[in-house]
Order: sequence, then C-alpha cells, then structure tokens
Amino acid sequence: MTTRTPPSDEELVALATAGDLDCFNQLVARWERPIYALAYRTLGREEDARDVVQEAFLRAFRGLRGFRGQAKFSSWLYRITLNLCRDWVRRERRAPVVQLPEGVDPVDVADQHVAPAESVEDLVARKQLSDAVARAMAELPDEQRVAILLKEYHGLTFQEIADQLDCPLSTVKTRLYQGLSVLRRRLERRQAEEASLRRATWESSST
Amino acid sequence: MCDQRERLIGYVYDECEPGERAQVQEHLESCATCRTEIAALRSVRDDLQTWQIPDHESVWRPFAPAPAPAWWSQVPRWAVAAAAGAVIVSGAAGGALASAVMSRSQPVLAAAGVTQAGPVLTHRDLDELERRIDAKFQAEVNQLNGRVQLAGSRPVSPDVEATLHKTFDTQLLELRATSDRQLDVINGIYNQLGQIQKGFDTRHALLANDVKGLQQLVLSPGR
Repeated sequence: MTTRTPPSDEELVALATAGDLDCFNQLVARWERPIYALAYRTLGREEDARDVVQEAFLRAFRGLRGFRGQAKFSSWLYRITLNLCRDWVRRERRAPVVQLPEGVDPVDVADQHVAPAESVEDLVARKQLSDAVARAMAELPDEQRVAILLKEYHGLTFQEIADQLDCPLSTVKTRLYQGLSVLRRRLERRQAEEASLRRATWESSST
Repeated sequence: MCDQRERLIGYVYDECEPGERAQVQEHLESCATCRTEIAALRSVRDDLQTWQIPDHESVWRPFAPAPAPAWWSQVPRWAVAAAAGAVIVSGAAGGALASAVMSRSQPVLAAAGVTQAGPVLTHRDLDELERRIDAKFQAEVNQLNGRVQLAGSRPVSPDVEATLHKTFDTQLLELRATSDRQLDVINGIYNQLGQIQKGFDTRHALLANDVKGLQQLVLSPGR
C-alpha cells in the first residue's frame, strides 16, 4: 500500500496563488500553532498574539503573489510575524509583558501536558519555573530574545536566524550566548531566593 | 579568561563548523571553566523548555469555496431573448408623446436604471418557464411512480428493497435540490420584474411631468 505524502508548503502556495483558497486554509492549519507560539512568546499577551497571527496570515495571503519562493514559506511567515510583533510593541509603546495564566489547576495541567508520573509538587514547581522563564525572557533585549525564541522553540539554524534578523552569523551566536547567560543568572538568582524563602518559612514555623 | 563563546554555542546546539566539534571536545577535556559553562547552557536550555503556551482556538476563519454563479446566469437564453423584445414593445407604448420629449427623457431613463442592458422578463416568459419546470417535475415523479409500482407488483428480496429505497431517497433528494435551484431562479426573476416595474413607474411619472410641462408651454396664452 502506498501512502500519499501531504503536499509541501511550496506546492500549497502555488495552488493558493492560482486561486485555490482551500490550499491557503491548509497552510494556515499547518502553521498557525508555531506562529501563535512565536507571537505569544514575543508579546506575552494572548489577545495580542491572536491579533498578530490573524494579521500575519492576511498579509501572507495578500502578498502570496509577491512570494516567489526565494525563501522557505515558513521563513517568510516568520519574518512577517516578527515584523508585526515589532510594530506592535512600538505602537503600544511598551515592553512585552508576561501574562501569568490565572488559577492554574495542576490536575488539568497534568492531564494535558505532563507525563503522569510527575507529582503535584513537581507540577507546581514546573509551572513556577515556566513563569520565571517567561519573565526572564521578557526582560531580555529584543534581539537576544528573538534569537533564542527562533532557536529554542522553532528550531531554526544559525544561518536561518541570521537571515531573519539581517545580521551576520557570528552576531546570532553572540546574541544567543549573551541571552542564555543572562537568563541563567536570573534563573539561578530566583532559585536562591526561593531556597532562602523556604528556609525562612521552615524556621518561622518550627519556632 | 577562556573565550570560546561562539564555539561553545555551536557545540551546545550541535551546529559546529566542520572539524570544530573535535577541537571543542579536546578543549573541554582540559578546561574546567568551559565544562561548567557548557553544563550551565544546557541547564538553561532545559529550563526554557518548560515555557508552555496556553491552549488557544484557531483565529483563522477559513476562506469559503468560490461563490455560486449569480442567478441570472442560470436564466435560459430564450427567456432573456424574449425579455429583450418585451422592453422594446413597452418602450413603444409611450408613443408620439415620448418621441417629443426624447432628448430630455434619455438621461432620465438611465437614471431610473431601465436601460436596455441586462436580462429582463415578462410574465408570459415566467409562465412559460413555470410550465416547463412543472412538466419536468411531473415527468420525474411519474417515472418514480412507475418504478414503485414495478417494485410492488412482485415479491422483492430485502436486498433489492434496500437498494430501491436508497435509490428513491437519492432521487428525491436530487429532485428537491433541483427544484430548490429552480425556485431560486424564479425568485430572482420576480425580483428583477419588480425592479423593472418600478423603473417603468418612475419613467411614466417623469414622462407625464414632461408632457404637462410641454402642454403648458404650447397652450400658455402668453405666447
């Protein structure tokens, strides 16, 4: 039995350009999650991310004829999204914020995201770490944050990131290195603070 | 201080330049600082993977397939042709008076939206259309009835009966879809007729006005 391989992005782009709207729907279905993730992690707000995702795909659709396959479709889409995020932050005149989902139910989280072997304490710790990462990332300079986002969550190569950011390869590596170093210091400091807080709580409760 | 940043990053992400990986590995064996550095970078990378994004609904409202053709493109040619003739006939009804005010009434007609362009129909055309649709519908029902009688006249196995039922259901559905489409066409035509009627009314009112003006002009004792 032969399995039919799904059409490539580029094939779908060609069909969509020729007027097959459903092919564009398929492209959206394929890329909406990563694009949303990029926008969310860049902007930190769900509603902002939603708006940017919608606008990004609309722009992509309008620009489809201009896209002649000089890059991968995904690279092109990332670029549109990053530009929109940049405009967004500039227009709102504020730094990215960190949105902490309220009232997280550990059981829900356990159902959806985490291996069942993980204990509730681990889950909570994981959630706290996730929030701490989000905060630390939001404090990074834009260029370091974007480089880390593209590398860690979207798996782009150094060269692809350099193309996205219009900078030399070595600059990408430097930004990644600096960004990771800053994150590491912040996360270590947070761990130290939490440890001392736990100690203080324990001491006050035991006296 | 041992500055190997670029190389360490390449090593951590497994994107070393050719030959570089072996060099870094060799260096790590002798440099405790860089070993610590690598471990720290990897640990941060692990931390980063805990950052989940919240679940979300799709924000994209998928494009609908191409819209169906407009109703008038489904109007049979004969009907359009007949309608074109009808316009000329009713236009002539204006008679001599109309020709007297022609130069002024021309732009008025255009403004009323009753120019010769576009398909227009009369009630006679509609009656004819309805008659044809009726006849076709009747023929299909007869055909269906014939099959039912055929099926009822002799014993039928459950298999055949099931097949027959399925066939009837399909045909009924098709029939219903066809008549729905035809109903759409007829409704469109009625709309169009209504608009034409309105156009004629406007035109007649304007003509009457023009005639009145002319009469006053001709009959006024001042001249």
